[in-house]
Amino acid sequence: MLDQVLPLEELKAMACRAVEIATKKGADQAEAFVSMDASLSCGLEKDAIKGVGTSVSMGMGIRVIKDRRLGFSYATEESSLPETAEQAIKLARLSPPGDLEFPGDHTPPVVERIFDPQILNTTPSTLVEWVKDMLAVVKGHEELVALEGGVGCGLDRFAVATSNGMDLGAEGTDSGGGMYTMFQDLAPSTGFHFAESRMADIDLLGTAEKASKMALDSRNPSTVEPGLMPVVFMPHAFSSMMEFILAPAFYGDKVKRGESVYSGREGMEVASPELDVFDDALLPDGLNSAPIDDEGVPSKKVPIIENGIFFNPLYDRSSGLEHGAETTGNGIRCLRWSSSRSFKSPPGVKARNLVMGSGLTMPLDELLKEVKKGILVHDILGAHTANPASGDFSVNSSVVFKIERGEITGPGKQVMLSGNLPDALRELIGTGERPLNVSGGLSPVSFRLPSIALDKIVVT
Amino acid sequence: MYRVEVKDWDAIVEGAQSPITPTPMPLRGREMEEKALKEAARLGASYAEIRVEERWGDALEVKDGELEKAVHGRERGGSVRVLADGRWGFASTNRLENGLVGAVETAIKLARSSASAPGDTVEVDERNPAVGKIIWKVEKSPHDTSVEEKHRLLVEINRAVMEKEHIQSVTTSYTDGTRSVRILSSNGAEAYSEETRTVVQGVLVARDGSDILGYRFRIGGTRGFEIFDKEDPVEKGIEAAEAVVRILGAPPCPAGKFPVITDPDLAGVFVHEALGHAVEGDTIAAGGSVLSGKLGERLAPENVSVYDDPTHKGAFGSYPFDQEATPTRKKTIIERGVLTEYLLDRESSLRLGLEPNGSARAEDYSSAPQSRMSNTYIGQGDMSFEDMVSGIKLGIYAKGTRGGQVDPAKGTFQFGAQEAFLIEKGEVTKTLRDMSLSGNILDTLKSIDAVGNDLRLGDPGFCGKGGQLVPVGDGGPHIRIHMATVGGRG
Repeated sequence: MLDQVLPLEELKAMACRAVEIATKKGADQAEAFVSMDASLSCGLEKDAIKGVGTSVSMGMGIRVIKDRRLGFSYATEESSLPETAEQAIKLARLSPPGDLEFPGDHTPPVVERIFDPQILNTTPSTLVEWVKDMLAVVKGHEELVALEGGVGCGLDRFAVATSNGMDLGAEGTDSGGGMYTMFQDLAPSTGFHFAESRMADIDLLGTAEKASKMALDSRNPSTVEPGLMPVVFMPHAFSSMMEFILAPAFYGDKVKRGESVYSGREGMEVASPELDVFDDALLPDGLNSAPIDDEGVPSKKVPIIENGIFFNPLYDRSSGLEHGAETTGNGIRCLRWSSSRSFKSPPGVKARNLVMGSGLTMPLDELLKEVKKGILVHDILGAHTANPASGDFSVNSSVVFKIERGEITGPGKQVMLSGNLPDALRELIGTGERPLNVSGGLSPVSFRLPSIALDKIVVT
Repeated sequence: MYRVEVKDWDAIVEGAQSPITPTPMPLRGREMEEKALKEAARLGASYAEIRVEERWGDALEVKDGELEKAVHGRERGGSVRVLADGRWGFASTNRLENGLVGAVETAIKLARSSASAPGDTVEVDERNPAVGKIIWKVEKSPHDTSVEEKHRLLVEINRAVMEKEHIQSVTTSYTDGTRSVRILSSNGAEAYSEETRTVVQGVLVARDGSDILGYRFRIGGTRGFEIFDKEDPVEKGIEAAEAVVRILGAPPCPAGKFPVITDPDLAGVFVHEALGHAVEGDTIAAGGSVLSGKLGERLAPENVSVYDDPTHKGAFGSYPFDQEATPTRKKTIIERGVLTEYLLDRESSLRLGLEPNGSARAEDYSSAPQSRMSNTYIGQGDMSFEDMVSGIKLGIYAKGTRGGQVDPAKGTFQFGAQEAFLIEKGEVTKTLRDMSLSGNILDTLKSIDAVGNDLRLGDPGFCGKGGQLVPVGDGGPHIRIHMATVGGRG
């Protein structure tokens, strides 16, 4: 199924043809982005395998510079490239003049563990067998239902060419599995777990087992006493807080235009001195790792917050140029509220793989000892409703465990958590070991996160 | 069988011409779909559904007065969904040069690969396939409006907003698009539709010293440029700027349990999150909702009725046919407090022994239909806003939405307000910030104790489910919840 994706060389040739067409149509400079991806997935619902699906998509976006002005247009069929180029040139007249130029060729860095040929050989029947195995794990617990779940894998390739000689491409694979469990008797306790990787190495049985255990452990929750307290955010809970609140505050244009809580704070302490946040597009097995970004810039590891000091905002080429900074390799093409790359948009600034760590890394049981009394949360509902400009949040969590005397003592009922996330990062208690890959929900930003304990969160 | 108004095919396609797209969308017959359908039957599919979709439109973004991006694009793609050996097979592609026969073969192969899997076989209700053509003509086609005019509109909003004190930045975006879909299915459906949406939205950031705050507004519908004659986006931008400056410097909202009044926008988001997702047929049939098996039960007081209406003219969440080619109609989810109807697709309705009601939606050709909402709203009540407020000693009045989220299996939901006010001794007093509300679906619906007499379909939104995003409209009158959990930092 995944073999329907054209070889990289063909996509590169198509990108070069598009550049040539745009130049002939009158563009002073042209850039073409051609992407093609395929996915294969098998899903289950209420203990039953529903079927298998596949999707193949290809598209091309043309960006032109005409009289120092930028224009963009896209299409899904190569036959419409001439018209697409004309549209891009027409639209350029609306843009303000600028100094952006499309770069030439270079040799991109090598990124480890983002392409696994084994994934290309995945057959539909293999996926079905894997889902059956996961289902069997959940059904090993008589009282549970596998409400939703499944496995999937994919291959994506993209090429970027410019009229200044760039002729680059990148490819990657991915695989993932997830499970959502609940009780046969409809007790309002649920469990979930996801595993995501670029390689064919995800632990599907472990995923099913973790989802089962979470439901079993969270049965019969008791009320959490409200107050100001430490909260341990597990990776899937914290990723959505980072995605909607922190990541936008790291973007160079927002920082420079005074729209970020980190505006004017470069070089200043903004978080606990023990805290580090990196954006690492070269991260081996990173869900958003690639040798280049979506405008062909070599990928990098960028320190954003190091030892609590706000170090470096993220830029693509346009915003870098506007604010007198170098691009950090964060030019990503995506549509609003969409988690996948898209040829339908020109590049904009987006984080790649946000990696968090601290000088206070310890096993989870030690982290709980540091916390002493508080709660541990596995999920967050409503992080996208937070105010990204201020960093203020007020969210719900419904998979909650109580921490007393430094240990988990039982499940808690749903709570609301409120606070200001940038301020909360000053109250770091510590981070756990073994960070997980987590992908963004409504953006292509990805994460490699440990559990993180923050003090002084308002719990209602 | 259902038949809708059929218009002259050629005339309609020529009408789709636009100045920015010099060539009209190619006139295309249905040979590709027919061929695919025949192939599916030949290969033994018990049900097959072929969808081919085209989209074209513009998107512009202006930030602090300057154009950030202008995009024109078009795309075409198709998908095949089949039932073979009692399982679904789905294949989508936007490589249509060689038609969809290859996708049919793939889909059947995929369905058969899971034939041995555990669980009941899948069937669909084949009744009531739509036959016909619905073209939603707009008064002022955005494709006939020059891109300069679209640009000018955004610049004008920017200028008006930037004049206000404390506004740090403003980003406005404009999007229009026409979606044409043809669906042919083995149960006799042959539905063609065209719908156009136009939307403007803005995000403002206000700043006062280190105090910084964001605010957003949106206007949109299944309408063309005439939408801006009905609602002035510049005025809407100015209102948003005044609101954000009011909130700047306001104290945080207290956390705890309070009586809450929500405005129509927020009442819409409340009913979308707290009720709508929990009555979606696929979730209900899977037993993944606290409202599974509750048809006919009282969920809310007598004065609460809730509707989902994809036929509401001009609303953002409206659609002509659903994506399984079932004709659409207005659905009454709650009638005078009693749960009366779920939102059903062809599979979930059969599993539940009910009839499909046109609620199958898909983001685009690349995804399979799910049961979804359209325009969801609480019906008109009879209480005035003043009477609602006068009954509250200490409470919160919440306005404007930041969106929300729900876990239907657990029955918990959360949603955020853009602005909040304290209610003291029956009067709305000071402005507060950072308010959100959460609760349990069943408890909260029961605690709606007043419904206003000022029904309004709120602002347009996008609803995400299983990785698919679809346009929706939510609304209602002002409503009062007599006790709700409010999250804030105060």
